Amino acid sequence: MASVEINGVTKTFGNVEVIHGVDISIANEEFVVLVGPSGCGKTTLLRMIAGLEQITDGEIAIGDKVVNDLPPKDRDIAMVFQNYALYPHMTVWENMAFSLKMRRANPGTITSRVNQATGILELMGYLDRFPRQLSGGQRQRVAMGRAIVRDPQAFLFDEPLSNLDAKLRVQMRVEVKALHQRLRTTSIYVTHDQVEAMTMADRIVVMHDGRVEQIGTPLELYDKPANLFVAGFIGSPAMNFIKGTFRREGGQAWVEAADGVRVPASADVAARNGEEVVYGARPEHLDVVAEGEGIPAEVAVVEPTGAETYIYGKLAGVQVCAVFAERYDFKPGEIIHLRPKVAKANLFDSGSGKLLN
Amino acid sequence: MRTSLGMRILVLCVHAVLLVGALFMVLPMLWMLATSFKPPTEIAVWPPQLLPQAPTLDNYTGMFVVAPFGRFFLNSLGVSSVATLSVAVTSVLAGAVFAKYRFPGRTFLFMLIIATAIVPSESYMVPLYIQLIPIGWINTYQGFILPYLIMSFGIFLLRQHVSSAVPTELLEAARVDGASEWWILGRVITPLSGPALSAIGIFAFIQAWGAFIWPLLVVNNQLYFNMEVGLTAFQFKFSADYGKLMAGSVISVLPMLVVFLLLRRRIVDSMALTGLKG
Amino acid sequence: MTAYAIEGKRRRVWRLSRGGNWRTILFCYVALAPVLAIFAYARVYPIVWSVVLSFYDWNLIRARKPFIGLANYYRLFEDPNFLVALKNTAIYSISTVVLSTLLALPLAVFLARKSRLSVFYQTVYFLPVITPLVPMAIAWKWIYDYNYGILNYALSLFGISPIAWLTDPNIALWALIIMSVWKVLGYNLVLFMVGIRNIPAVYMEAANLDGASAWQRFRFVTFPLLKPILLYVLVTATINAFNVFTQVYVMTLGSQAAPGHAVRVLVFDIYQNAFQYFKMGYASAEAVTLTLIVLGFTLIQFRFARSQEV
Repeated sequence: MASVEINGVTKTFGNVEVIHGVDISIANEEFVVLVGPSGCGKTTLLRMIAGLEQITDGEIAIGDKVVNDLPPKDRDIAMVFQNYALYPHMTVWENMAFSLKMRRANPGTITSRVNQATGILELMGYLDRFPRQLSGGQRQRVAMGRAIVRDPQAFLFDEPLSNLDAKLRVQMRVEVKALHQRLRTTSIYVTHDQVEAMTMADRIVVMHDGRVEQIGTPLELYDKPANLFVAGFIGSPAMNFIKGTFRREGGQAWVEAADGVRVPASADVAARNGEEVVYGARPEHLDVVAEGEGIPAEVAVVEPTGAETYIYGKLAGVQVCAVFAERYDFKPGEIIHLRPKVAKANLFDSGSGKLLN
Repeated sequence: MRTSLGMRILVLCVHAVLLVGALFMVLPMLWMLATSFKPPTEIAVWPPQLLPQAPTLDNYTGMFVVAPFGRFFLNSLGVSSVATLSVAVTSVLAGAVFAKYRFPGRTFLFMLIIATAIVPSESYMVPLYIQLIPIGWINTYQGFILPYLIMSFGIFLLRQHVSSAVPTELLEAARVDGASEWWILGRVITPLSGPALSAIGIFAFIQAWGAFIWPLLVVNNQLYFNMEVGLTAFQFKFSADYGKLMAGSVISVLPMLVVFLLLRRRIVDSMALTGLKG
Repeated sequence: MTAYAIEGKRRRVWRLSRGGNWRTILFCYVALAPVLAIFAYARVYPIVWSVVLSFYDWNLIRARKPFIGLANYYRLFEDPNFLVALKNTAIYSISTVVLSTLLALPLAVFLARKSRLSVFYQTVYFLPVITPLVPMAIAWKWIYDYNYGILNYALSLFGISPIAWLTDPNIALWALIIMSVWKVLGYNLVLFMVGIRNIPAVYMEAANLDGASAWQRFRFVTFPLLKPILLYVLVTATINAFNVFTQVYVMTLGSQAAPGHAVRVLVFDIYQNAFQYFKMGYASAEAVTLTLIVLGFTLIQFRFARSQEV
């Protein structure tokens, strides 16, 4: 168990800088998820923590020890790879015992540790099988078993669920989280799937183009995204964005969007009159109201999922999505009136994308 | 992590070994080349000099006087070219048919073809020789070239390639459009087999060019010698004339080197395929 | 279009795609005919014939060619020429295969990382493979020359007296072995490099994280995964080595000949029996024996590889 400190870490490949000075502080026993679109640098960062990539600048410390110059095998971390990386010519048992064998642990220790991991992951009966004889989910568990046996200071996960089908992914998500709750090992988990991030993380690090956009708990990121990118990345379906000009008159405030539409906003916002802003309202924060109380929107598509109704339409010249628990029977082309919950809305500066509230 | 001094020394040693090895690989050819330009006076000397002091082309020109090397070279070229063509055509024909068609005896015939590849040619050169006697093919081009007209490996490779690179839907679409199977073979499958065909062509060429044992047996009329047999026969007749021998050797080796340096990628990539199947 | 017509067309398309109708089958046979003909005549028939021939006292210049059963084989195993050739060929083969494989493997490990340097070395080491054997054998003969060869010259620089590479009966076989290793090393090297490159890098990373040192990574991950290629290399090298002929013929016949016995190899013995003594039946028996020996070695190698698997 240990904390992981990432200070001012930069990574350059040749002439191209791909990670620009990243600072992340991971506490002992924390489950931190690095999330972001492809190419944002999350995997590179993870590999630098593991020691599989050189750190161009900055420092990474695992458990108060700076590890920049330590080879991977001396960093006392275990990694679960996206493609499991199980040695194809070794049985499940041999795969899990491998790291201990390399460190010349005594056979008794090896047996007990492997058996313990086998029990935790419910792999009994599979110990003599080869990876090719296992299903995707089983392979994933063996990969985790291999990591558990090491009893390292931290677990690193590199998109371990990407290769599983949707149903299995949901099941394994729960298993990984349960494992963490049981073992309480510091874990750093990389994924591009924001749902995984939201459901599994103690804290999320959103990365984009080699920079950290925001660090926070899932709900912090959801309710108070630091900028447009995080706002649009977290949450599905994505937040609705309406561009416009902020207007403040008397005690009222609104955003003037295209076609003169007025989108109601909160007056205690750190925005100036006449400032160009982007208004963000999540689909579930739009209410259907009577004509005159809201903004007219033309319905394009209605998707009833049974539990919810998704309405896609055009509002103030912008494509929006609204999600309701109620079952509305709108027809395509119908004009409905929507009103965002002002308290939940977020205002972003048009130029910098930063949160204004 | 920084490389320790020990690691650095190890890497240096490895490079030294690699370099020495590389020299060892190349030296015989360089020596051959150098000797071919030396006048007789410089060849049998001690200590031997690497470079000729008075380089001369006499060996090359004189070579053709003492033995019909020109003819030998043309024979090599002709036989290799015909063999290459034949191997290419037969490989794609058979490979495509085995890959994309079902017919009784398909598995058996294919297994037979692979099985014959396992038996080395030296084992059956005697009976093959005897077979050629009654049909008068001893001492002829036909007899010479016969074993090199087909290559099991070629059929195997083409079958592999056609299976994976030519989608069956393409053939079906052509059939529905009314194309004959021959048309499909020539206009659909063959063009798509380019990479594999060129690899096989190269191998066939190299194999035919280096043919030695079989021509040695089948042909004792000088007119039909290829470079390999010609060189060997010449070596026994003029065993002291190393200058000309080296010149002849250079001429025999040069085309292969050229082929290799131009097509190195192709050769290595197709070797990768063989290794993987094993 | 009526229902029947549609059904008919559908069935025809199904048949076409299955290749099941007789016209397609005829096409297959016609297309295969020339290939099969050549195969039958130039490969299958001679192979079968060589076995049949081995049971006859078949001499090219004698009219009577009686059936003698296994007599040729019995005679073989009492024939001193054959036994010497067998011994020589075995020593030659095992040495060549072991040396060329043992040297190629570590080189391949070092060169496996892609770089301009590795491409350079790969090309240079492969050059001997691509050169035709006869001219290079002639060149090597000159290199091995007792009086003027550069090999003896290089040795003299170290104060070693000249060695009769090709004429000393104790050395001649080794001279051949060295030359053959020179010729095939590059081939094995390239095959091993391909094999190593095909091992997904992620296994190396995982092993690294698991705490394996470079040697441990090689021993427990690289080498086991190379087994298929290693087997292929060993088998092909063995087959080629046992069938050696050209170098021996070129380098040890003629005026600077080595004493025939020291480098007598099996294929040479076959050649001599068939084309100098015209004892075709006998030579065939020898050829069949050679093939069986090679097959035997191949099976042993396969069996050994299988056993390692468990």
